[in-house]
Amino acid sequence: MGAHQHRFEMLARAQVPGLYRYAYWLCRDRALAEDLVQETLLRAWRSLDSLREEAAARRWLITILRNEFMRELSKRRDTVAIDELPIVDTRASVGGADTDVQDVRRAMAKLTPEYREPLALQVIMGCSTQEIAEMLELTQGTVLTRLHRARNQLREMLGVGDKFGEEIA
Amino acid sequence: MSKVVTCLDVRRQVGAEPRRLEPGVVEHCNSCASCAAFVRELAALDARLEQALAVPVPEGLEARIVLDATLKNRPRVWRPWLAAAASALMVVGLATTAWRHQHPVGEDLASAVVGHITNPEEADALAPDRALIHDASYIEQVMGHAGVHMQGAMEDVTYAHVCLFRGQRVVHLVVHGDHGPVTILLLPHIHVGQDTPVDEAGFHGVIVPEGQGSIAIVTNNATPVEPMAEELTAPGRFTL
Repeated sequence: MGAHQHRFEMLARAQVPGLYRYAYWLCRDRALAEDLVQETLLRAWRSLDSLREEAAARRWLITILRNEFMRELSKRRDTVAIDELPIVDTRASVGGADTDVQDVRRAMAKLTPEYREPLALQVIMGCSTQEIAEMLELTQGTVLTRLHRARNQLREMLGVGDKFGEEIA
Repeated sequence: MSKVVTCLDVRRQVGAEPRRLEPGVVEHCNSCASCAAFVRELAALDARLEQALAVPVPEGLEARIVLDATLKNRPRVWRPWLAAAASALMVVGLATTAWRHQHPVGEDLASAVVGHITNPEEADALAPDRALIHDASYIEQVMGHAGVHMQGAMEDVTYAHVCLFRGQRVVHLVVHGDHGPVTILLLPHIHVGQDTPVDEAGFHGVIVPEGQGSIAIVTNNATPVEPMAEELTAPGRFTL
């Protein structure tokens, strides 16, 4: 096995699960999420030599995947907005899961993309708010506000706690 | 003197980053039962979130991807010019990244434009062997997705995609110039008051106002950008 392939396999093993989950919450379509991850890794293979530090791999792959997602949007003649993507899993009922998990997934699916994406990057990919701000080309303050509001909306949908703080973000 | 952490500070910080508790927040919660309960509640919510967002990954996906990439890229032809171009772009990218580190995002549009062009993932857009896009409807479609309307045809286009730039959709085009590729970014949401020069990291060009937005014309070769800027900003050519 060549060094290039070995490095690629290590990268794929470490990053594919998180990338797939992030892709799923980006588009909420299992087949499209799989395609996005596949295309992302294919591009990564071709330019793997440009990745100098393994520590930067996660962010590099997320950037490729987001751009792939945008390209997919641009290919669809009838698609007018990210939040109007074809939604296969309208009830967010992927896989067998207990009621609580399904409730949280449904609530997550109801968040608008501007709130859902930074939350997915934080919870699934473990990104810091600074990293999210740089990837989404937003200010860190905007990211903090969106994360705060996303959680507030989830709390409300899931009937958790009071609404304290709704007005502060 | 350390800043006094209020209940509002706690709600704001913990609501955004429940897993990163600042020392001041912890100290506040030691004497505020309400905030302590809020922190516990958010931690519990995040545990549920983490479990729920971990949707099942298709079995064997990693193996399929590795196999697919291996087969599609074999045999791997070594092209010295491509390696040189990739290295050059990497150097440009690193230089730009270092520069941007000292100049926060949003401060300098010209820097952000060059940063986008030199992003390693966008390097493919400037590959010298890209074929011309003959399908005019594809280019129109790309523009439509970014809310841009164009009168007439656009010639010599080798790359046309919708990209995210500062959180907004923009049109990223590359056209054949007299001396090599020229990048054109149609920025419908970013207005500049006057022509803004671009000159950094080996790239030069100009960002010109157009309607409610602006158009960046940038290159790293000797192609003059001014005539292109004039053509692109002709009355009625673009609606941004």
